[in-house]
Amino acid sequence: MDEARCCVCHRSFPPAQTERLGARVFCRADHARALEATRASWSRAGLIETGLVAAFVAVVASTLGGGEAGTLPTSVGTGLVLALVPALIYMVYVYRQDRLEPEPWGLVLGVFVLGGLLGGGVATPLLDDVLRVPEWQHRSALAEVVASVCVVATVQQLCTYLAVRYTVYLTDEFDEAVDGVIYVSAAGLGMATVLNVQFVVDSDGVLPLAGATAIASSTLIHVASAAILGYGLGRDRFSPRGQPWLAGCFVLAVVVHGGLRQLVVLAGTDGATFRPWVALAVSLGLGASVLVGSHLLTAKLRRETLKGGPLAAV
Amino acid sequence: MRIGGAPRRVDLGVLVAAALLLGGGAAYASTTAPAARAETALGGEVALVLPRGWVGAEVDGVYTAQRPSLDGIAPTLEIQRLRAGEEPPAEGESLMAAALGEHAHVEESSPDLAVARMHEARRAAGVGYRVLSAEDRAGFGGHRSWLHHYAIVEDPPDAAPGAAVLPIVVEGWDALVIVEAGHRYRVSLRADAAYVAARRAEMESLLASVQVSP
Repeated sequence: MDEARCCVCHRSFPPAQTERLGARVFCRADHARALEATRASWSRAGLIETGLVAAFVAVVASTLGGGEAGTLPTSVGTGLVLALVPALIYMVYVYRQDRLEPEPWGLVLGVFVLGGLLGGGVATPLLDDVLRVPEWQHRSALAEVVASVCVVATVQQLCTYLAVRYTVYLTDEFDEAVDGVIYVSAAGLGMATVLNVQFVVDSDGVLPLAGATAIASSTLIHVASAAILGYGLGRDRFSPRGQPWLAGCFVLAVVVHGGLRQLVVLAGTDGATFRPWVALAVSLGLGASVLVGSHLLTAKLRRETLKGGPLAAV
Repeated sequence: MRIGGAPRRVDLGVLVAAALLLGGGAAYASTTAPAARAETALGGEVALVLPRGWVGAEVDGVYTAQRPSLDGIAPTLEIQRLRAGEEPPAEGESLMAAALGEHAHVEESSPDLAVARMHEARRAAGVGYRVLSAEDRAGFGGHRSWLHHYAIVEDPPDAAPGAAVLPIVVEGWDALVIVEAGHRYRVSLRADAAYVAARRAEMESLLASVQVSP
């Protein structure tokens, strides 16, 4: 009797012990996991991780930010630890997206590192030394918006895109539409981490609450916009008309990235005073909304893939 | 891991979108810089042409124009009218203190002494002071003037005393301009030496545009 091979665990089973979804064959266990992965779940939508980041800022405020010490900058070492915590939390988010056929973690971490290298080695010098954004972005309110959306967000999203498009995208490991969200989110997280580390080092330490807020907001904004771009990349890979989706998602990711940055600055600034809790609430609220939206779209993408439509994995 | 059958095309949509966004942003950025323009200062006694990107303002009798910069020392032009009987700052006296008139009137001294005191004031602002050239000539609207081109090493503007930071080589020009009736003007233009090397024509043009007509 011919046996069928499960497309997830790659083991052979008698046909009676397999299930089909579109053109793909699953063993019963992986079939159940595949169906569960197509359902949107609030626990995997990034809300838990966002809550953990809020808790991280609260802990920093109550410990390092308490009393007179809160008005003094941290050491660079402490600042670097603060810069890494939100990255670790959102790596959990990336891992929990990858339910059905987990991606090799070496590859995910490699893309994370590449995103960081492009952020620190390409995006930052391009923005500071070539386009000289810090010199003109504060000349007017419109200049701030143009700098944030058209220049900074575009350069950073372009680097995130390149970190995935010309590496893992071209390999067999990119075999599901949802892999776009996973890898681009990892690249965006890597870039956010390096930018946060640069921020701490350039500032020679950070004020605890303000610094933790800035780091948390920056990380969430990068992950949220990367999720949009990753969705577009996934559709492009497995759809006959994916190019318009990719271009549209790139522009949307740029607008979300730059727009969220500006909204956080506007909300958190009152004259010459910085209001960290307001800035944090705006960034977490809006960023989490983007993550939830991306999660719902990704679940829909998975359902279409498993039905064996144009987005079925190769 | 195998390189699979993914298309290796160039994603034109992404490139076009990125090019439009960046191009639009850069084009807008170029329009935000103040245009080159003629200005007057010190109650109309001084006229000059500010290059593109420079902004000027007058505070407490000193006209200051700068090209805003986040790097090191911003290129700066200062013009101050010295009242009859006033001297340029003495050795060790800050230029700003002198500009605020915080020193006593002294009898009018010879221009040579005034120039020497100007040297001393500049020397006290840093280390390694060097006079690169000195001219006694007509200028700044046809008036007698002493123009000195110098270099000096200074700490970055916001550096704490003794901080472990690299000092900056500053290149500049100090001029003492004498008009009729003994009125004197101090004209000072300075910037990071790297900026001067890259934009020497702009700096020399700015200095040459200063015209004093009391």
